[in-house]
Amino acid sequence: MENNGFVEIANLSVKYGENKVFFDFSIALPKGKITCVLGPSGSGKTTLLKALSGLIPVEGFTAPKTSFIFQDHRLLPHLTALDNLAIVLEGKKEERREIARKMLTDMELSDAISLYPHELSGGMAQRVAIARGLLFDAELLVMDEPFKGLDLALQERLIRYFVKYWETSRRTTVFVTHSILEAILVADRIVVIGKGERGARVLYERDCDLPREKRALGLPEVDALRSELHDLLVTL
Amino acid sequence: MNGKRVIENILAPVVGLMVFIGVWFACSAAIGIEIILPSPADTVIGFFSLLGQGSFYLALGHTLARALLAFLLAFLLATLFAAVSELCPFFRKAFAPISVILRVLPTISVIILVLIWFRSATAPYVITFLVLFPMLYTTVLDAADRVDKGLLEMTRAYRFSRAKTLFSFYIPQMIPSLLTGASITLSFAVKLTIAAEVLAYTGDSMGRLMQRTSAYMETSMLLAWTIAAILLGFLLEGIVLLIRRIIMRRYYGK
Repeated sequence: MENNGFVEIANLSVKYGENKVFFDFSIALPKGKITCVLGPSGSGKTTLLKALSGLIPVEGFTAPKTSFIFQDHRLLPHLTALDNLAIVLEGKKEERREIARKMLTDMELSDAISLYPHELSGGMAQRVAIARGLLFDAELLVMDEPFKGLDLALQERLIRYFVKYWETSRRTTVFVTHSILEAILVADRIVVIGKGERGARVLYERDCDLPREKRALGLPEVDALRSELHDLLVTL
Repeated sequence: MNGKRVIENILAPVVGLMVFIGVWFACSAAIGIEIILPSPADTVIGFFSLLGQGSFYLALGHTLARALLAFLLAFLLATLFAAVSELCPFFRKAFAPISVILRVLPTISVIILVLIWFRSATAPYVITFLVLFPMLYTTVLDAADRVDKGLLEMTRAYRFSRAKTLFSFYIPQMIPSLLTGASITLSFAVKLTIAAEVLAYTGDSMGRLMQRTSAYMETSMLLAWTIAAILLGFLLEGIVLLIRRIIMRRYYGK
């Protein structure tokens, strides 16, 4: 599955009843980098993530151990933020809690440690979920529009937090989003998928070499890429 | 508590109770025969006289123990059967007709059959168990079906072991629904146990002592025992609902 610095996924097939969402689908994910997947609604983006993480049965592919950051936080309601992180770790309870405590402190979430999910704001809960995703020891990290539905300022802050802590582990990541700007700010590689006659297909892919900290609206390269992706997506 | 809530939560139930007692009092005065319908005052006097009798506490304790034991056994077995049904769709389908038959079986048929098959000391346990089991099985299965599917997917994504999924996900997710079901079923268990004790002539029981009052035409004492049974049901239901409220506030912010 891994060669030349890529995690190669080949001949992936997923069926819902008679409907083939993916058939012989192949994609190469650069190792230790973030691949952003764009595509119209119903193109199979979420299905791709579920297939990669083994949440749905697939043919031709054995799912690696995967960490999943969902669109909603999906924290266990009866556990504190600390225990929501500790529960995905292995080992003795006190050791797990110590690791979780350090992670939450590093992510400037010390105030959330002893709070339950219902006591957290939407943004804080999502940050705890991101911390959980980053903490879980997995080969692959997949993210299903985790910043969707949040206000722009919060979205920007969360992306900054995510990138900052992702840099410490540099895990191979697949990040599905609807937002072109989100993809440009985060991605090392952008992939656009769309529906083909025999399931979803990769329609476009390109690397983003510009350093992340320099990427911002108004920068000619960013604006040009944004227009290019926009023009492509409106035709799908 | 603001004025509107005081009216809704305290005043309205008190008014309802007062109207009920008023109608009872009026009917009792109109009939004028204590054996048929004693007044609320006579009933309350009878209830307080019960509180002074050692046999009252003995019967209360025995009935409560029978109801609780039958309930616990039914709850444990219903949980076990529901767990197997969740894990094995074939078992669920195979057990469905048995569960439906047990649920729709007339209670009086269960009571009569059990009285034929079991001794009077055992019958109340068996009757209460047989009536509660299908109700609790449905409650537990329903609670398992209604767990948050998104969270269940999360437990799979993060590779929770079966034990971790059970103890960290299923049980905490199901507890609120189970406690609601348990509170209703527990007071029902008390009613059923008393009915079974009456018909089985079970010694040292509320049912037996209630039956004795009817034999001696002591209607006011029968109603006094009825008040004791109602209070016992309220108490059990209240304790479980209080536990549920504490859990929901503490862990779910509701």
